[in-house]
Amino acid sequence: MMFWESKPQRRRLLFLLLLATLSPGCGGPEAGDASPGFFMDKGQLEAQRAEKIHRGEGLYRYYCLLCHGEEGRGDGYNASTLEVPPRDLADQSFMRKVSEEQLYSVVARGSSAIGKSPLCPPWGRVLKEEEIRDLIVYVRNLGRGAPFSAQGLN
Amino acid sequence: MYQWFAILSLAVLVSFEATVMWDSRREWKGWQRAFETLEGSLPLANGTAKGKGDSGGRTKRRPDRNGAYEIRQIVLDPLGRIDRCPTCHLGIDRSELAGVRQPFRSHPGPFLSQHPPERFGCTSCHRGQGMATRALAAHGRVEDWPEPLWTALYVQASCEKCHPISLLREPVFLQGRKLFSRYNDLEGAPLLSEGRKLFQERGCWACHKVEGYRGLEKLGPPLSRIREKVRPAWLLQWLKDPRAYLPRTIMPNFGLNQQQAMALTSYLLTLESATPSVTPSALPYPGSASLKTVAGGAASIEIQGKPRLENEPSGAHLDEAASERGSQIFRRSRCVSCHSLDGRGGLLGPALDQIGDKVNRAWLIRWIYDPRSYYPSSHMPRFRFSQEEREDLVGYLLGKRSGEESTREEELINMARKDRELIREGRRLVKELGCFGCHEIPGFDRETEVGPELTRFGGKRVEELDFGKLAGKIGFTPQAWTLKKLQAPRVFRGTLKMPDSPLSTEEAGALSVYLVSLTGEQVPAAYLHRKKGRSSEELPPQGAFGRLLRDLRCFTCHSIGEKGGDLAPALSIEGSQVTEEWLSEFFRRPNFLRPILTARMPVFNLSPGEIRTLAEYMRVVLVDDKVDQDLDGTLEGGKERSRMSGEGAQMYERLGCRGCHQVGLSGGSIGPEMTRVGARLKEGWIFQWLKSPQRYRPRSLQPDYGLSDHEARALAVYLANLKQ
Repeated sequence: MMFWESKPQRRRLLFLLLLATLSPGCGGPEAGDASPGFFMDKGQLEAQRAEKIHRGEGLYRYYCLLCHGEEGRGDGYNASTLEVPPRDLADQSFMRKVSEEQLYSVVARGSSAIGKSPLCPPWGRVLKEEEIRDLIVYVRNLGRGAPFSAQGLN
Repeated sequence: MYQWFAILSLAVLVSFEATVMWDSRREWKGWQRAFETLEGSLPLANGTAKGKGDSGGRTKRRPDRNGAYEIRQIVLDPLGRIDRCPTCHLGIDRSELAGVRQPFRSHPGPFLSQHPPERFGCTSCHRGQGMATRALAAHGRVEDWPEPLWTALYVQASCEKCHPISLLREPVFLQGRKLFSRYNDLEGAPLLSEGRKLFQERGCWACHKVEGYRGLEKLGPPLSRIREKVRPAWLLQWLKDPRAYLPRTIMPNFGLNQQQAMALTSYLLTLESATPSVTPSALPYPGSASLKTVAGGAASIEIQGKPRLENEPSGAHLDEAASERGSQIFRRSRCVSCHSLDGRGGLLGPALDQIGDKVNRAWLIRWIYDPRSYYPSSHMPRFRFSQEEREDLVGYLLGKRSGEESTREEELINMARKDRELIREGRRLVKELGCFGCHEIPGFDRETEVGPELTRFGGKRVEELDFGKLAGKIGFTPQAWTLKKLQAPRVFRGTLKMPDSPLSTEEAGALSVYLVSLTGEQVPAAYLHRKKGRSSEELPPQGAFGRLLRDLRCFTCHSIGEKGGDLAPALSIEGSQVTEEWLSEFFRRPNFLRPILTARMPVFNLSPGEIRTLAEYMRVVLVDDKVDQDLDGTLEGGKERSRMSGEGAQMYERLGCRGCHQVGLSGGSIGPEMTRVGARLKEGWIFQWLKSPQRYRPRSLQPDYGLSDHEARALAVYLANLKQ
């Protein structure tokens, strides 16, 4: 007698086959074995930061360079005419102590907003928030070893 | 019998099982599962239970663990597209996922909020195959799909079909470049913007037809009377290598050999224009102080009969003193604002370093006297010089030579000009090379462009492009082909005719983005986004003022309304901004306003009558009533004004204006001097300007201090009092 000819055996067989049909299967790439860090894309983050610096550089050269100079050292074309010299933005020993919020205040509301001379004007109504943030990223990058070169971005 | 039944039913069961398993192993389900893992691993925003609850800003339901994985699609009826991209790109609108790997990364920039997917979908900008659900197919990287995905740089090319530019018949000088549209810049698409500008500026449209680029002013000067203007030896050298004479010229190098260049030279030198070389429009300047000298000296210019202008020895009239005077006239008139000499100067006109090699003396005198009699759409203004001044200036300029001898070539050319065969060859070359695309040439008015039409270049499939010798050596994409073509036009085959026109790698990249954007695709009207500007049908200024404007070519640098360039301040409301006294004095002797700028207004030597015309028109017509509002009416008497003035003085210190502006001897050199600002600017204008500078000049360095009306008025009163 063939194994499928007895009733209880048939039932068992059918049950097994039905069970097999209902299995979900293990499809798809990278499911289940992923750790949280697996998803972060370091290259992408780096590229985004480089973008911010590039945009910030454009803004710096247009709005800030005339007083703060090519490398942020406070030696711009207009600096010699000012009673109070422009801040050396590449001086990491000083910049390290300046918080993000303070930097944002200076750019958006002028140097008078943090108790300094009024010579650095407020740009908050001229620049958008993202632009000011990009500018801050650029300024933080000044004087950090070799400044991140915008030419490398291509 | 039963065995067969058993086997068949088993086979059916197995195939059923296989189908179910295959369906459950779909690629996109795997991605959705992976996304779940990602979400589970994210740091929580508000400390609620892991994975459950609402995180703000999401529009799509998370697939839950019961296996409710589904295909998500956007159906766009107006565009005839169905996009299933959100099936795998689940994090596209989640800004916290900016740094994760694809396909879960969020969309960069403000593009998604500006172009909501429900209305635009994905493939209308990124292309690819929207209905596919496997990555490779969805990205269009399969055989026969005509629209593969565009990468990050080229996706800008999609902007063109909804954000087209509108072209002007006459070029404007914007940002120092000669462009045919004011609206090239598209925020968020820098490569496309640059590509558009290059296409207009370099004259690609002169040889390649593109829809919309019709009836534009020709980029080069007319050649109908070139015989009067240039020395034949120069013309030969120029045709062989334009950039040897003018490094920045847009005239391409056609790679002509000696024979071809000689043929072209002899042909061009036979051209005659229907109009006589001296036109009656060249009347002396009305109201000009040098009227008498002009009329008296006219005979020396040569007016009647055939001008003896050809092959004149140029050294004949030079002498030291005259050359020195000419040099002073050159400096005084500020010709360097437009022309460069010894590497310094403007770029609007050609460099004058070797002008003595190029032009004939009589032509140059005539040119300075009245440029538009030779070249009607030239940007050169008509300076008011006396005859002696003209001669001195020309004497000085013709001293600028390279010092190379060219007599042998002159002889050769003289012989060639009698060779009719060669002349015919020259004519044939003109027809073949398409010189008439950029230059007006008699007899070639109705020719069509010589290069292939590019209106639908972006719609070409890569199989339609001829890779020639480089087949298999560069990427098999339209972008790679275009980039290669722009950098080395004849590299694909030896028989190609496109001339060399140097582009840097960045320029070639930008231009290739623009070229692939020319798909000729029509979008529904609701999606078209045209820049709103005043109608270009508006009349330019008329009457005596209009004539002066055209004579002096003010619109090269200045603008009134939508007409004109942006190299100098806009004059649309100049009458409300400055006092008439200052304006008249400025026309007489334009002085430096802003120390950091290098370009200066040239000195035209205008007569008092002409100055009066200009100043009066500005005072009466170029005004803005809102700016002119009488502020004094609200302040009673001198005491009130002096109180406000005191307040204003304090504000001037408090705001740190001295950092950029000079008053007396102290202050910065970024903005205009304030010492006598009250004599220059009107009080109403100072008020409006201080309230919101960027409204009048969007890129101004003047900060917006957020002043109240009272504060701005106080400052305006103070500044208007600074008149000494």
